[in-house]
Amino acid sequence: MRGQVTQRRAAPPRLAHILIKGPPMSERVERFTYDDGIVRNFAFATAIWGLVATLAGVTLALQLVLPQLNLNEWLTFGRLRPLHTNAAIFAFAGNAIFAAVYYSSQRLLKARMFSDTLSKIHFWGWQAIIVAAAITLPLGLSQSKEYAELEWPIDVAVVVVWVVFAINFFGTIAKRRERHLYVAIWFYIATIVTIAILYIFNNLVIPAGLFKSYPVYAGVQDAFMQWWYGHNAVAFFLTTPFLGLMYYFLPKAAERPVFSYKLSILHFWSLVFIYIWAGPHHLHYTALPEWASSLGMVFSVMLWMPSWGGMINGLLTLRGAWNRVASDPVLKFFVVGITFYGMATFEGPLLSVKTVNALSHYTDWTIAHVHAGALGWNGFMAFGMLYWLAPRLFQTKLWSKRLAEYHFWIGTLGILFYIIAIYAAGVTQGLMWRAFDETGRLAYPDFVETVVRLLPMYWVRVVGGLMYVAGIVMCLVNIVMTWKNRPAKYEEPVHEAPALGADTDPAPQLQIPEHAPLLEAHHRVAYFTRAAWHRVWERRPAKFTILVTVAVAIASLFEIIPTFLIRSNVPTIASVKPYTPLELYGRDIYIEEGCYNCHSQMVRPMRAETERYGEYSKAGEFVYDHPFQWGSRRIGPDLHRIGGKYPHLWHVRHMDDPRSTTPQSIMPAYPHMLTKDIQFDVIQQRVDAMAMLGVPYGDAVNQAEQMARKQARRIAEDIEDQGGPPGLEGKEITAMVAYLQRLGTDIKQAPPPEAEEAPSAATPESDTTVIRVQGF
Amino acid sequence: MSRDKQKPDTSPEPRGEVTDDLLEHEYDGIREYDNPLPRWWVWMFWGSFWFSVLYFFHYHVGGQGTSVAQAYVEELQIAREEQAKASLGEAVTEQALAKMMADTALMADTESLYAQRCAQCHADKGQGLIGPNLTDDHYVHGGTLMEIYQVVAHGVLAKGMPEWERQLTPIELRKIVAYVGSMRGTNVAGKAPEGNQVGLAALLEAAKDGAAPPSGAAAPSGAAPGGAPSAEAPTGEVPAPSGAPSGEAAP
Repeated sequence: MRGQVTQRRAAPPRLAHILIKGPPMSERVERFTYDDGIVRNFAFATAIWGLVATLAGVTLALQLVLPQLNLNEWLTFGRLRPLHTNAAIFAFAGNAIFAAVYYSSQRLLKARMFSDTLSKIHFWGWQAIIVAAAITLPLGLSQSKEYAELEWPIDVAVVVVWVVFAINFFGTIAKRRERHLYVAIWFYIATIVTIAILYIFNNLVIPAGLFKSYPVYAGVQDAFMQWWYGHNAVAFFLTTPFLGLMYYFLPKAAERPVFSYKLSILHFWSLVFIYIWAGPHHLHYTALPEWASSLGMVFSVMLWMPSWGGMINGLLTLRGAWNRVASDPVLKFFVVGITFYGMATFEGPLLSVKTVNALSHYTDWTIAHVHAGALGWNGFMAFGMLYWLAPRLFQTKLWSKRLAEYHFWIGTLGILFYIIAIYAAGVTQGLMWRAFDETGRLAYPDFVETVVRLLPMYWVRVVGGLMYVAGIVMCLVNIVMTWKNRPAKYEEPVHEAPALGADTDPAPQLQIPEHAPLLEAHHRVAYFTRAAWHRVWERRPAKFTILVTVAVAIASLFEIIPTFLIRSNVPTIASVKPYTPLELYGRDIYIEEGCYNCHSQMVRPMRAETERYGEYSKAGEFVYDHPFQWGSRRIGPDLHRIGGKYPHLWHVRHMDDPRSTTPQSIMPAYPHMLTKDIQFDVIQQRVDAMAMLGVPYGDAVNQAEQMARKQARRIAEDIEDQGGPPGLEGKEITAMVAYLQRLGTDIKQAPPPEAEEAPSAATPESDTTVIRVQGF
Repeated sequence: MSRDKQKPDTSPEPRGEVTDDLLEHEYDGIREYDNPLPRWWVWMFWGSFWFSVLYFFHYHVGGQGTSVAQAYVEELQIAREEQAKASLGEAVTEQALAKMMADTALMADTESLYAQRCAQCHADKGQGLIGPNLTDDHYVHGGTLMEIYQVVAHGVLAKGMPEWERQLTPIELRKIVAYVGSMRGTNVAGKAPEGNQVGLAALLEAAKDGAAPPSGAAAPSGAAPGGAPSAEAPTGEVPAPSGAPSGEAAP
């Protein structure tokens, strides 16, 4: 009978064998079936969205080399890039996760999913969310926080569907017929719990209209929350569920036992606890307090081995099956996928080291890193799973094993083309940005020089991307053809297992022999390292879930609480004032167009940066920035000190056609800003929302619209005076100009009473020292 | 089994040894080995842990680590020193610039530099676009070569003219000033004249007077980065009436 303890082979009895007994069986044997229909749906969705996500990626890659492919206002790079990232993460990887969870959980728990209805709501709800994202993002409806761009009504839907998923999953655990939870299930639990926490807390906003909102956090805090989320979306959406996937599908495909149960335990808990802390490594050298950045770095370094624990357990599980890797495309995908996981999780800690990050940050190095992870690890694990599932789900042979082999090779080559070119681009640009010539000037003061240099590598990326897409097309064809060969009616095998009675199994006790040959402490250590205690946790899902939640929550609070308490210590800069209503509206256009996808607003305290952009950015300058716009990649130059650098007319011409002011620019043109009207009637609502968040708007609370109109008129007149086109008053460009000309200028105003703002070099510690002390 | 349970084997097993003992449980056919943790993995885990503890203490809890902000200050100091050394003995004078302006080959070489850096605002022939027309004989900030040098080097930030001194090498800066000077009087149709008319006589006067610039001192060509004028700027950087133009130093 399945589920019974199988007889173990050879070897003398060891503690683990004695303590880890099989579950007590009740007499009642139950019959049940698995719901594979839902897995088929998720599997198809995975392949289809995989194609969509990567096609969007290739489009973006092409737009960078051929800027004229930014066809119109809805299809610019800034609006499509969130579509690409969201599709890759939530549509492609998301559906792969759900396929894995729904297939493996039922079998690992010996139970059909809790509710077929909830399964369907989950599936269709999730697809509807993806479609909503695909519509709203090109329309410019965006919160501008990376991988959390979806506006609040869609966020609400995401949370509802996620809760449905959670009920369905934990309901299945509740009616399981397997006493203990297998390691894959641990990872699924961590995923479900943590994603819920992350998603909700990063998306707390005040709505200012049906598809417009402002986050409750500002500046430094908002940046912190965003990367707490962003980093752990990688951890708990792209890592833990895929490790769960690995722990089920790899031993199944390899038909080998998992290498080490103890390693599973150790790397699971260390991963869950340590990952959460690492978020601030996305914010090195920014206005984030330095202690937080250091914590992010050291926890990333500590994360190296927990991550590699997963890789080792994966690769060593293949011992004895390597001879089959050559002939089995499924194993090939898994081997390369896990190898990329190992590579990316070594590179992650490396990039989190501050001095490395100083070079890599804002360059394509990051882009190469995430694509090694997404294309190599997530993509290949998903494809391996799909090829293993296809014959089982469709109950026929895989249509073409050879095509799967071709997919593997073209996909692998595609990844290599992509990442090698983009690593080269990242390092090249990073070095160019910091290069000084012998006269002490920037060697490449013109930002666009450093962009033009990358274009050949960008072309190689297009080739690599197309190869990867070709692989997905092969996968889709293979799955559809396999599906076509399905039987007229799917067989639904009926399984049998005894129902789970009350848990009467005693917890294993630490027992010290009377005449112990060893120290007592040694026995305690041995008991602990044998992990028998964990065996007990595994049969108590509620306790297990609570422990995971506690691990995640403690780690989060350790960083979040000081970060928020520091609020009073973010050195206030008296001259920093809220944006005027028109500037706020311009900022919303900046967000709508996704400018943050290519432009940072964070000058780091490095000579190469202050020389190029101006004074480095201070925490106190961002206190009214709901949301923050620090960005993560400089495809174009930093904009924090753009205010006042050029005349209005320069901006007008530049937005209308960037190549009129910078001939080699690859920026999309935004001619619609010169023709589209400002919606003056929404400005009051937005100012009110900001006021509700505590931004001191004073009089503007009542007369935002009049103030905006007045400023727009003045800017339009200035543009005309400078020789620009007439009649721009009331057009979006005036709001955009207002915002850009304001950026980073407050600090240059003489603050009223206190000593004049000292020049850059004199008192840079003023803000950091306070924070350093306060943190600890 | 029950006998074993009373006397569990708690003796430590050799660490790092792959025993491949199967554990009794199985899930959907998946078995697990009871192998110990790889020893190198454990050591590296501890290593990263202790590194992290020491790092954090060194930088944040009473340690000697340099903060990011302090490192930046030191970086600037080093750069200032180097630049001060490099710019010693350089001088810009009206005559030196005029000599460069007369060198037509040199001016032809400068055309691409102008197109790259200036044409966006002053148009391809200098006829003015965002910035003023350079081809007439009207100047907003004075028309002698030293006055043009002032404007190009230090910019007119209020009007969007950048401080080119921070982006161009000294020789590029001089070449571009001479090039702009050479545009005078080409009178390309474009933006209407702005500023005051500057007659040729005034220019000749300036050239005759040597280096005495009509307004203020020409700036040291290697102003400190980060906007902080270095206090220790050697006085030698103020243009001296030297007859040693660096035109021939052009690449």
